[in-house]
Amino acid sequence: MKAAFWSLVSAFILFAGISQAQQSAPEGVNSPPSTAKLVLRNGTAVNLKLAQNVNSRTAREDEPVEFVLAEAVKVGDVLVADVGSRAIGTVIHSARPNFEGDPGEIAVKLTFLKAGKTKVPLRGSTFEIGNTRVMLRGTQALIKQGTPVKAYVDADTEIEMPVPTGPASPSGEAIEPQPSVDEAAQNASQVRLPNGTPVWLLLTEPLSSNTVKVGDSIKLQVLEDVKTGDLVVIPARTPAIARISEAKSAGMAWHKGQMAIRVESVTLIDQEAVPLELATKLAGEPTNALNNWAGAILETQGLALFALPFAPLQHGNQAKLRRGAVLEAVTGAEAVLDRGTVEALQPEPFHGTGPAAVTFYFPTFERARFHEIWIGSVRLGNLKEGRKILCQLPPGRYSLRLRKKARSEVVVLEPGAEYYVRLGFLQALVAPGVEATGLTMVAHDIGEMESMDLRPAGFQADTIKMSAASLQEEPAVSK
Amino acid sequence: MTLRLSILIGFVLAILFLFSSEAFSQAPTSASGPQTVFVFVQRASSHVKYSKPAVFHDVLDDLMGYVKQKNVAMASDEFGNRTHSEDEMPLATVQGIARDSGATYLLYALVERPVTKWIKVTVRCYDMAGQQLWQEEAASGGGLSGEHGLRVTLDRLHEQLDKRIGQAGLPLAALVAGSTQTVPQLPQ
Repeated sequence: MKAAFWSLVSAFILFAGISQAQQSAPEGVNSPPSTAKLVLRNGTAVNLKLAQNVNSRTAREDEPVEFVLAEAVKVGDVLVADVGSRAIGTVIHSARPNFEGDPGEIAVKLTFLKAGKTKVPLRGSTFEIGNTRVMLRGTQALIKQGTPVKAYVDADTEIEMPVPTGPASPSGEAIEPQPSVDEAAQNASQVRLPNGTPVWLLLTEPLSSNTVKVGDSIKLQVLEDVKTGDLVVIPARTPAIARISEAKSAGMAWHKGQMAIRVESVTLIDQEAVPLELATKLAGEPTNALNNWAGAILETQGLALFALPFAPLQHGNQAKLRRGAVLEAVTGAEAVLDRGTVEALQPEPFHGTGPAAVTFYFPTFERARFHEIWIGSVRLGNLKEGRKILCQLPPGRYSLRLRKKARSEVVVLEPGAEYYVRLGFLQALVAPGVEATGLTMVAHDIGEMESMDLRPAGFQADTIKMSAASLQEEPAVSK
Repeated sequence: MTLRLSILIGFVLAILFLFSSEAFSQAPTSASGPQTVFVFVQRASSHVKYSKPAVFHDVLDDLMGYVKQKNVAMASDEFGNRTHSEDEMPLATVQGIARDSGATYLLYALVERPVTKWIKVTVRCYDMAGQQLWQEEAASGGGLSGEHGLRVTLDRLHEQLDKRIGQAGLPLAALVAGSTQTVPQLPQ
């Protein structure tokens, strides 16, 4: 009996000991929860879909917008963000429709994707414009839940992920295999242009929906150098290939013209082509027929009512893009270039000599008759709408104004450089609360395109013979 | 014979001990960890059409102020900083945000403007599995102004929620040992 008791106790202790030993065994022995630091590369495509509706009626600028991942994101074979992972965007523009028929507008910029506990920065955006309506308020812009949006990883991002298989270090930390010496040397000898890199394109010809046909090629060129680090990979003024993908001329009953543009590719500095992604659709401006007819009826004391039955004969406006318009495309694939070739083909830095050339121009899309031009204490003259004037000025600092006692735009001119100054307030971007000067220094190529068709001013400005002291005088009112 | 029986009994006891200790160690973390609630206020399309954004924001401020005053343990959305939406957002998306914030419960308040009422606020409580635990609603169609209707509705809602304080869906921060939950700052 005693033997049986001790056997029972020893058997219990034995099994209990085994079970405790199993529970207290280090986790690494049975199931190694190894982690790996993976790098999600800049330019990785991220396919998202909207997880809520966004409406120009309720959306406010800077408000967050919910997205979810539509396709899993992987680094090699390792899943770093599964379908349904959360992403956040921000409303960057919201405008309600008005009673002149203008539609609502909404634009959302992608900001972050959640991959594990890491915030992955994103670049990309989506926008929507409502419908223009005649004699009624325009419609709200609505981006519906489920709308697909393509974004790109905006910077190389390190993500710590648990890896179920693979070698684990003694510390339980499995690091992504280090690149071999050959791979490192190969990386050093290459220049990588990530997928999704923004490329700004300048339109060098005017487009109108009544002149273009589907399949027509469009003249576009790269506006600014596209760089990887300090190296230019796509030089400014490189032509881009783009075509008209849809064209519909304006018609009677205020039907507006429409056209769509599809950008296809651009040539890299090593003469290889890289695909570009941009599909944009344009429609004609509203006719404001309601206001025009109401004004006509009032001014004619009702006589215009007799002409009202013929109002639907009026055409809508054509969809137009002016010369000098800028479009934003993104590269549609990663491009890998040979570093030696890229370095050998780098453009020479500009070293100019002599006076700087400043072109003042007053484009026709501004609505004013003329503007005065003042440089320092010198009044050059009145520049009428649709005119331009070229001035040669010695290098230095100048205060430019539209009136004698107005706020100045201060510019520093480099030797031999060309500058373009646009007159007008419509497109002048200023900080809130700051008085607009009405003078905008625009990028060289944009200014060149916008002023190309303008006529010379009706006055001469031989600034090179004028007193440099007067031209460079700082007015007392300038801030 | 006795020896064999003893060994068998010992074996059974050891197995029972093993299972009981494993079951204890695998208890759900939600039961042992601090309980928190993610509060989200949604503006219904009827409210967008027939009322003003300011009224919705009054409800939002009041509800957030209420849970703060009652010392409810709240979870905050550190990734997206969401507390409300004026655009239509599916419940599944809100539940995803709540899960993301590490909450135990979701308190989903829907602000509506029915045809016959000034305002109607429905508060639903869900667990993280998406199951609705309870629902409270308050509305007012009386009085001469919407402002009066709003005040009456919110007072009624407070009375109903008072009964649920400290229970599932409205856990108290004071009862949660070591709770580090933050309550979003309300606009002044």
